[in-house]
Amino acid sequence: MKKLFVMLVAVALFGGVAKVNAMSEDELYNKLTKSYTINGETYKVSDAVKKQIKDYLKDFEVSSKDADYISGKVDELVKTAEKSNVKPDEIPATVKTAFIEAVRDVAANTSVNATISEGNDGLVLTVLDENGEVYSKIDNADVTIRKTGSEAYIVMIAGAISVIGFAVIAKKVAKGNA
Amino acid sequence: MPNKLKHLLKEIAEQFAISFFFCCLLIVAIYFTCSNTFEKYINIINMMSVSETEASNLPVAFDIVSKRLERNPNYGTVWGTLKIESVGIDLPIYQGDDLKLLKKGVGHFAGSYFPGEGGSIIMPAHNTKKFFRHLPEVKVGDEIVIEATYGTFTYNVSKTEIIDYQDPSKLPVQEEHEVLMLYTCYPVNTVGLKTKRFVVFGELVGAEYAS
Repeated sequence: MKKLFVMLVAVALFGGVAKVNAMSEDELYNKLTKSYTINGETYKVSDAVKKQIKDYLKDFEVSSKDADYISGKVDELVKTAEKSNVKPDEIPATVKTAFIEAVRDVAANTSVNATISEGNDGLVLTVLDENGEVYSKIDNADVTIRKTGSEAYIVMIAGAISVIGFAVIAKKVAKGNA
Repeated sequence: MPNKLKHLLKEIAEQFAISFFFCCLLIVAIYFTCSNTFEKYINIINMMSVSETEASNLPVAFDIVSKRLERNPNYGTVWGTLKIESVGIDLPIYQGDDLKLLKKGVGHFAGSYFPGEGGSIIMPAHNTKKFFRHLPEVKVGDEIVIEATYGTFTYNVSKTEIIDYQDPSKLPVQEEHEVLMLYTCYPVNTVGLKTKRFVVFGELVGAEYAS
C-alpha cells in the first residue's frame, strides 16, 4: 500500500506546465511528502521518492488547478484504503484497482503526461516530458536493489544437457564392457 | 511413430548430447586455463570497435549555487562515463536502472543524486565480464572517476561491503554528504539466484565543472 500510495503522490508532481500561483512549490512539496496514518499504520514517502518529487518540481512547473485536482485524488485514495482495511503487506485488489484508476483519471483530466502498467516488479509509472520522451520511470517507491547477476538459467540448461551427454557415454561404455 | 524413425531420433539426440558434453568440457577447460588471455583480446577488440554512442537528450548544465542539475537527463539516456582504472572499468552511465538499461551499461538509480549534488549516488551494473565482474577486486584507496556531461568527479574508495539484496537500508538515499555506491550481484562467478550484493563506497575528493 505504501508503495502504491507514494507512486500516486509522485504522479501528483509529474505533470502540468502552467505556473503555480496559489500554492508555492514548497507548500506543494510538503503536502505531497507528508506522512499519512491509515488504520493505525503510518505511511511515509521514502527519501528516494522525495528526491524524484524535488527533481520534477525543479524541471517542470505545475498549475495550481492540476495540483488541486491531484491532491483531491490522493485524499480519495486514502479514504478507499481506510475502508478496505489495508495493511502494509496486504494490498487488497480494490485498492490497487482504485490506484490505477486514479492515475489514469489524473492523466485524463490534468496536464499530467504519464502512463501506468504492470511490470515484473509490480506497477510501473512512466512519466513523459513535453516532447513525449520518457522523463522518468518509477517501479518502486524505495531504493530497489536490482538483479545484476548473469543469466544463470542458460548455464543450468547447458549443464543439464551435458549431464545427459555424460550419462549416454557412460551407458555406451558400460554396454561395450558387458 | 515408426520404429525406424524413433530409433533415428534417439540416435540424433544421443549424438547431440555427447557432442554438447564435450563442447562444455572444452569451454570449461579454456575458461580455467586461458580465459584471461581471451578477455584481454576481447577488451582490445571492444576498444577498437566503432560503437554507436547514445547522445544525451539535452546538454546537461549544473547550477553551482543550488548544487543541482539545471535539468535532469531523460530516462534511458547516457550522461557520463564511469572509470575505475585499477580494475579496467570504463563504462557508459545510463539514467535509470531497469533490466533493459543494465544490459547496456551502468545504471543510475533515479531516486538518488547526481555527482556534485552532495548526496547519495547509487549505480548498479551486471556482474558479467563486460561490466562489473572485477568490481570485487577494487581496494580501499582506489580511484573512481565519473566523467559527466557537466563535469568530472573523482572519488576514493572508502570501503567495500557485502549486503543482502533485500536490505535497501544499506544503500541509504541522503543529501547530507556525497557518497558514491556501486553495486553488483555477488559472488560474481557462480550461477543461481544471488542473494548478496557487493558494494563499493566512494567519497568525493575532487570536482571540475565544465564551463
